[in-house]
Amino acid sequence: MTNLTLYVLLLPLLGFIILGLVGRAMRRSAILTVALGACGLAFLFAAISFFSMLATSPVTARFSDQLLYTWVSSGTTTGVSPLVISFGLLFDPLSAIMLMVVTGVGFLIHIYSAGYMEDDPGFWRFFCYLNFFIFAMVLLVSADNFLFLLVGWGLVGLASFLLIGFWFTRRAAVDAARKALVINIIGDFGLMIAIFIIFKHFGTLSFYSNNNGIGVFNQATSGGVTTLTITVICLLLFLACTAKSAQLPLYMWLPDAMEGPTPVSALIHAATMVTAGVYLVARANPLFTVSPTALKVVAIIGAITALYAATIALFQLDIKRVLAYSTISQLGYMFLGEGVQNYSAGIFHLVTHAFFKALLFLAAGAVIHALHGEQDMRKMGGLRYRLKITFWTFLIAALAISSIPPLAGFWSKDDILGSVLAQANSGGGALYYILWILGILTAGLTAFYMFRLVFGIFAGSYRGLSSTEYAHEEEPDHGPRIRNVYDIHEAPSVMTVPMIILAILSAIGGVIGSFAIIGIPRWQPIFAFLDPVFTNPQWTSVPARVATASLGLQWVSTGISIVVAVLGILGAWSLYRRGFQYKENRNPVYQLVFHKYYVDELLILLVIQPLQWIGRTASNLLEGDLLDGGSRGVAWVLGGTSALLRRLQTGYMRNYALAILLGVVLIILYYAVRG
Amino acid sequence: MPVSGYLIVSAIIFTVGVVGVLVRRNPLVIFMSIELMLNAVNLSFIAFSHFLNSVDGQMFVFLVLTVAAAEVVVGLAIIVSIFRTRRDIDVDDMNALRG
Amino acid sequence: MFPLLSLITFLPLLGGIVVLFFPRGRENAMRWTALGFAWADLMLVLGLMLAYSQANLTVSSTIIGSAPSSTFLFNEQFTWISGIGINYSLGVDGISLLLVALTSLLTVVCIGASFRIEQKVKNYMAFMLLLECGILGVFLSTNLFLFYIFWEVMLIPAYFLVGSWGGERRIYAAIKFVLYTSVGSLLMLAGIIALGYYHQQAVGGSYTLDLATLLNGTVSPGVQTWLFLAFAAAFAVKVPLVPFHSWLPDAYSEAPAPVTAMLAGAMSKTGAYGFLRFCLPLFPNAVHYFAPLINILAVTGILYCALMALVQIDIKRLLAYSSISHLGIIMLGIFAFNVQGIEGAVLQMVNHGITITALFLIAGFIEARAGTRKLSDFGGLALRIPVLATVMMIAALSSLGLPGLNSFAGEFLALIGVFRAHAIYGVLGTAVIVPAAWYMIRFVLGIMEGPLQKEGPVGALLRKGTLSDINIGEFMTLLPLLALIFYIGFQANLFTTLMEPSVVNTLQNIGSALVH
Repeated sequence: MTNLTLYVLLLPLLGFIILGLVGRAMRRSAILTVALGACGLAFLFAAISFFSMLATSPVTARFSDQLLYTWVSSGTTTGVSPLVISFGLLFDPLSAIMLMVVTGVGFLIHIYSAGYMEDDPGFWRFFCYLNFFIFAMVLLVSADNFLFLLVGWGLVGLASFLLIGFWFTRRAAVDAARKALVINIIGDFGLMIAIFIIFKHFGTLSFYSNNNGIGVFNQATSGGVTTLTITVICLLLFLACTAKSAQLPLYMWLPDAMEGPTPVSALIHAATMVTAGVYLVARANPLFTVSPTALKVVAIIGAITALYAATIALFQLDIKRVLAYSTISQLGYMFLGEGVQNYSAGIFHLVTHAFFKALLFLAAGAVIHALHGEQDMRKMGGLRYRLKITFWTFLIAALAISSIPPLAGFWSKDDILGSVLAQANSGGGALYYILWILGILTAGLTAFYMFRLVFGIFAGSYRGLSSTEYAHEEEPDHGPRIRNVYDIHEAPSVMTVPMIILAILSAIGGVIGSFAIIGIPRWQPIFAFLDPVFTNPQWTSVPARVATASLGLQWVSTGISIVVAVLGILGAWSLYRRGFQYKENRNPVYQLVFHKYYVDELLILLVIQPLQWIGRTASNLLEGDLLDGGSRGVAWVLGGTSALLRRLQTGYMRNYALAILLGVVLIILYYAVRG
Repeated sequence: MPVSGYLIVSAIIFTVGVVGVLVRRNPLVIFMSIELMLNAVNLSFIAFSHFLNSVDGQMFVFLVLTVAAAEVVVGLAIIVSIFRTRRDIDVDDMNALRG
Repeated sequence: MFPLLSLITFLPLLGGIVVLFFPRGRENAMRWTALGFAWADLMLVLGLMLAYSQANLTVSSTIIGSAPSSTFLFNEQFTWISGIGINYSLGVDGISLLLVALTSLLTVVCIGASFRIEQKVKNYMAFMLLLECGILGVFLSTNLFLFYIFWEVMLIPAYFLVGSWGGERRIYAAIKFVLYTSVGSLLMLAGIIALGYYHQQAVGGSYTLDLATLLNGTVSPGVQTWLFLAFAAAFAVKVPLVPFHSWLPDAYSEAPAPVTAMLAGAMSKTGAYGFLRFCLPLFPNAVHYFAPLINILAVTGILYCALMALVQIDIKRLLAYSSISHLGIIMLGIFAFNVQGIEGAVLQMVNHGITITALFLIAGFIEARAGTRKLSDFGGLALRIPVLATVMMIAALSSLGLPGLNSFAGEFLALIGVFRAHAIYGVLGTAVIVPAAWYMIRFVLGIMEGPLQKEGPVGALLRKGTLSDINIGEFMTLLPLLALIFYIGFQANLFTTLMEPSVVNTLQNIGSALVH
């Protein structure tokens, strides 16, 4: 098996270093050569490694753990719980798929950005950050231990922070970046505590057994670690996932992250980084499998987030925000699938979602680009005839996310819903029926808001000319104003080609999934490929058990889901087929959802403001009055005492002489009296 | 002659010195009074030295004489310096070191 | 034997004296001479590191299972005042070695960053070098009395550096600093004298203050309690532990930036070092008795000062509070009493020294340009000074513990040790990463990002276009720090292996010296 992971990791790092040091002085073509070259070669090497893995058998040979150097060692001379952490690169089916997605989608988005960011003064900086992101993400998915997973986890957070705040002179972008970083650090906190517990109980941080000893996942059931401990570990890991993958209750940063450039939203905040949580749960599957409680939490949070975010997406006006909430919702699906131990389905949905959600963002970016920065759906409409390629690719992606067969989203989403229903049916009980219903509801809502978007952008007539009331200059390119609809032009081919490629993938990506539902049970390449990671003893001491559904039951789930999706599309069609009309709606429920359940406002009111108030009060009272005042008080008392005493010091020599004399006389008297 | 005679003389000279230091305002006179006190002590040293048949007392006298000489040198230098700046050497006017 | 340690300790003093002989008007010669002496000292220390790492191999091979042995190398011992056990004895082990290296590096950096100082250059440079001498002496002394002398030597230049070259309230800050620290250190002096007495009572022999001898026997737990408190008074003020920190925000914010960097980067480590080197092995019972108290104070300090940093409007005060907060983690690590905790704490002392120095110097560069330290006076400067903005971002990311940079390595190791010992302190100590990220990002974004500032002094500068980016000299001063920020984050193993035998030895001393 050829394993080029090291080069996949180092090439983007090299690109980042070159661009970071001398990018400012480079010409655009040179910047593109470095950035695209680094990412393209990384993709090439990832592909070579991936296909070489496909050609390798048996499955246990599809595993490689390169230990490169010792990062830290502590306590090795005492023999009592030594800590040795090596930097190692893991290459197994799960990493391989993630590497393909990250570098592949990443490369397409690099190409697209060459067009999208063409006029931006921060051109070099943008590609520098993008290459850094690819490096960090590759590190995350190919780390062979929890510590370097955490390093990758933190570095992708940094890349996300830098790119959200890319246009750093805008207040909104800076605020969004700060919010994203702080919320993500809450997740990092969870991950760190989880790592501490793992070290305390397993004595190692390696995923799998290697030269440094037995891996965590190979001893998940042994060693006297209680299920309660593992549950705590899993919940803390999942806390990290909720922050990174924008699940309840730490999802608030992702919609705001749309302040970043649109290619960033596509790459980081839709296709790759936000799926790191899904990856982590899949990677840590031996721990989660041991703990049914943790799995239930994952499934419940996933399902509730899916529905919750979908409801918010219903009424948003900013097209990127609709897509952001849709991302949160789809990530919920992935966790739902993983919550019923169908980790493969979660990863499968991750892959297809990467295709169609990246495409949706890129197409939305093409629309925004064509309208010189307009993101408000109220000022769009009728673009079908002006942006033909964008329209068709967007439509394909919308159908895919609405899980209309035979597009990619259908196969992956229905696999998840099918296994939830199967879990319910095979003794899981009422909880899983409810989760399944939530999933189905979400499917309907998804179809509705996606087609509301499609009709809003592309149907009816162009509404951008009517007024400048909603002027919303978020993107930087202040091009010529649009005087009539013929001023709107399709994006250049450097942007449309990646969209077309992603459209093809969104359409046919489902072929890598399972065709069991249409009576071809032997065709399930991605499941067969990933299966060892979740069941083979080389990877896990506790094989995952996915509840299998009968063909009939699968069809029940699938059929209902298709019907609901079609109903959603029809609903959108009946309301918006002549174009989107915004009407002020005073209904309190509508207002509640429209304002995203007032979560941001509550957060500021209940957390941030009290914290700042406490801080300021403590700063004034404790620091100022008590401590500083206290030390000044001591000084004041001492100063007052000495002010009294110093009166004795008259400065007249004869007073001193008299005092000396009196002193001598007293001493003599003392000895005279004492005898 | 008994030792008490020397000691009485010494005590009288010493007292004169003390009173001089306390009541006079001219630093030169004060210096002379201090010298009186030192020499009163020297007198008793020598008396004891003689009556105890020990040279320790005489040795101390030499020490005292040296210290006194040194002290006068420093003291007079200070007085001259003060006189140069203030044109007046009344000790009751000197209270720059008041606390 | 060649007195390498004495040379290292007193070369800066010699440099300071040499600088004093330059005539007025030769300011540049004074600056370069001072820098030259600092460099020479750094070179000697690097040689020492090399020699130690070679020699160390033989020590570590015999450490397992054997009785506690000394890992001090390059020992020098001369009888000084024999009657009362005062010797001139120096020695270096893995722990002090790293701190010595840190101190000499930071002196080079801080003197390099002080070329901007125009007033009384001669005295300034002499005091900086004297400060280095004091700090190095503290780390290298193996006799308690000598340690105390160096401890006080540190204070003198620090007082003058804060009081003569500082900002508006410099006198207030300097006096507060001196009073706080000297109250603590006088108690320690009493403790040192008493320790010698009680040790003589317990073990017999002659009165001695040599650390090596004092480690051979332990005084009774009751006495330990009082001695520990006396020593802790000095160290807790120096670290500082909340609530003995009130001097720090004033001193750090009023002192000129390179001096603050020296105080925060190098001098603050002497407190934590004192706990580790003296309190732990000398008073094991008392240390175990007081550990919960110290841990609670440390955790309180970590979280409380993070909160304080969050609401500061003065950038140097913000950094000052962040410094206290980070030192809390070091204290937690030391009082975890396990290898990871202590190694993490020592590593974090080095890292914190590097990072906080970089941050204070950068804050100084910004203050020198803008003439203000108020956070709200800034905004959007990255547009005009992108390189400085990048450097500042790197230092801030290091400070907030971004995985992959230096502070992460130290904090992670320390906290994993703390968690092993006491899960609750580990969790609370780790929780600081959230506010730490918040205040650091507030600091960087508030100055460098957001809409370009149009008002106030910075607005005026921007209109005139006279705001200059980091110059080559400033960049060269920061370069070694930046390189270490990346290197230690990339690979911390070099440092942990260097100190491992000494840390293990310290732990064995604690374990074997407990009086039951």
